[in-house]
Amino acid sequence: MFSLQNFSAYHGASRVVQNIDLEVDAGEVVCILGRNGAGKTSMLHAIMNLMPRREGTVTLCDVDISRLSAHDVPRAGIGYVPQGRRLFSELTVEQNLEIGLMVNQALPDVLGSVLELFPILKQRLNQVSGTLSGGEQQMLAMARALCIEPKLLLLDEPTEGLMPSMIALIREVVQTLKTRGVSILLVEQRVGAVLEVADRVAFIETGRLLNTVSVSEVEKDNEIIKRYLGVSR
Amino acid sequence: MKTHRKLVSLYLHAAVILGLFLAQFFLPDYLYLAVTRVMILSVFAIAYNILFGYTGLLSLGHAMFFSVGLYTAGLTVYHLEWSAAEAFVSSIGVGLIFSILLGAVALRTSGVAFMIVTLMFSQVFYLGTLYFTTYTRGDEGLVLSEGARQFTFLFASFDLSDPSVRYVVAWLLLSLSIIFCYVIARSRLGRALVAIRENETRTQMLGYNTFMLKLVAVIISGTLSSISGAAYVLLFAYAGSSFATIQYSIDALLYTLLGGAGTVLGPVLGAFLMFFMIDITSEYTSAYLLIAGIILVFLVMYFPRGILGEVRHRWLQWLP
Repeated sequence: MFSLQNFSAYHGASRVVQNIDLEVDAGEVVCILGRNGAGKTSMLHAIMNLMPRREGTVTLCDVDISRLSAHDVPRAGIGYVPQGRRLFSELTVEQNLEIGLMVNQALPDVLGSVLELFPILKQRLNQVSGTLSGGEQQMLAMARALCIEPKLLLLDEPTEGLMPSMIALIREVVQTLKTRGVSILLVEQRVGAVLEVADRVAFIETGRLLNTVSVSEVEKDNEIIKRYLGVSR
Repeated sequence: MKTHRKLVSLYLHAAVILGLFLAQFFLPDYLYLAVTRVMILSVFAIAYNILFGYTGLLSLGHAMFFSVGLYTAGLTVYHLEWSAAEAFVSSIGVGLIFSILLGAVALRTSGVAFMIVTLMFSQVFYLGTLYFTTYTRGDEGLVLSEGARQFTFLFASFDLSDPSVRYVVAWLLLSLSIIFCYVIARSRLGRALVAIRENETRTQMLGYNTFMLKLVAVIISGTLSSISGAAYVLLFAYAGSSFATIQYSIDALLYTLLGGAGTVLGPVLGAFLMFFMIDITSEYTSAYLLIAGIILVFLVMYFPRGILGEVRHRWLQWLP
C-alpha cells in the first residue's frame, strides 16, 4: 500500500534520513521507535515533502508520489498530525475542520464520520481551538487530518503530554481507523502504548532503519527494546 | 443560532454602508469633502487588510500599487486625453499586471525579507516618478482639468468635480469594497488565507498550494489598491510623487492595525479615526503628530488587536 525505497532526506548538507526501505500494508499500524534525535520526525517531514531535498522512491497504492509538491502529498492520500498539534488556534473547532474539509471538496458525510470518532468535538464546534484542553486539541488535529480521508495517516507522538484517559481515547481511535483500513505510521515514545496498537515496530537511529520486527516478537523478547533503545520495557 | 449571527453580521455591514450614504445629507461642506477622501483611503485600507489582516503578509510596498492606479489614470487623462472611464479601466489592468509581477517575485521570500522586497519595489517606483518628471512632473504633480473628469454612463453625464457626484462615487466604491471583502472573508478562499496567516506549513500539510493562494491575495490586494489610487486622482484631480512614498504604505498599515486587522470594517474605522484624529489635533497644535502618536500608543496598549479585532475577540466572535 505504502512504501519507501532507498529513501533519504537532507537538512542542508547533512543526510538526516538515510536509505530507508519500509512498507506499510492497508490497515496496518507501523510504529517508528528511536531515541531523541534519531530522525523520526524528520522522516515524517520528508514523506510529506517538507524538507528541501529528498532521494529515493515513495509509493502510495502503487503510485509513485516522490515528485509531488508538498501541497499535493495530502491530496494523494497522506494525512499528517504533527507533534505539538499545530492547530489554527485563533479559529474555532468548526473552522479548523472546514479547512480540512475544503481540500476534500467538503463531502458532507466525511464530517459526520469524523465527528463520530471524536464526539467531544461536536460539543465544542463554536469554541476557539486555542482554548481547548491538550487532549481535545490532539483530537481536533487528528480529526482535521482525517477530513481529507487519508489512506495513510502519519501520527507524530499523539499521546505526548496527555492524561491517561485521553491516551486511551486516542488508542481507541487508532484501533477504529485500523479496522476502517487506514494505514498508520506512528511515531511514539511510550513503548507500552505502541505495543497495544501497532502491528510492527521499526527501529531507527541516526536516520537509518536498523530493523523492523512484529509486535509479537517484541513481546516475546524483552531484549529487543533494550538492544535498540537502551531502555527496558 | 449560526444563521441568526450571520444575519446580524449582514445587517451591521449594511447599516454602515447605509449610514455612510445618508451622511452626505447632513455633513457640512468641509466634512463632506473630508469624508469623500477618507472613503477612498478606506478602500485602500481594505485592500491592504486582505493581504496583511487575512493572509498575514506585511507589505511595505502598497504605496506602489496605490500610485500605479493613480498614475495610470492620471497620465492617460493628462497626456493621452483618455476619458475618466477609460483611464479607470486601464488602471485596473496595469494594477493587475504590477500585482502579478510583484507577487511572483516577492512571494519567494517571507517575513522580514518579504517586507524589504516590497519596500524596494515601491522605492523603485517612487524614484521612477521622480526620474521621469517630463511625464509625471515629480513632486509638483499632475493636476487634471475639470473637463477631463467628465464622463457619460448609461446615457447620463457625470462631472467628477461636482462634490455630490464625488461623494456618491467614493461611497459606491467603498460599499463594493466592503461587500467584496465580506464575501471573501466568508468564502473558502478567505478561510484558506486565514489558515495561511495562522500557520502556513500546516496549511500546506493539509493540501493547500499556499504560494498560489498568497499570490491570489497579492493580486486582489494590489489591484484593489490601484483602483483606490485611480479613484483618488479622478475624484481629487491630483497625482504627485508623494503618494508613492513609504508613508502611504505605513498609513494603510496603521489604518488596518488601528481598526482591527482581519476584520472587514476594521480598516474603514481605522482610516476614519486616523484621519480625523490628525485633522482635529492639528487644529490646536503644530505638534499634532506627537499627540496622534501618544493616542496611538494608548490604543495599541489597550486594543492590541485593533478596535474591532478586540471587540471580536472579547464579545462578537462572529464578526467577519
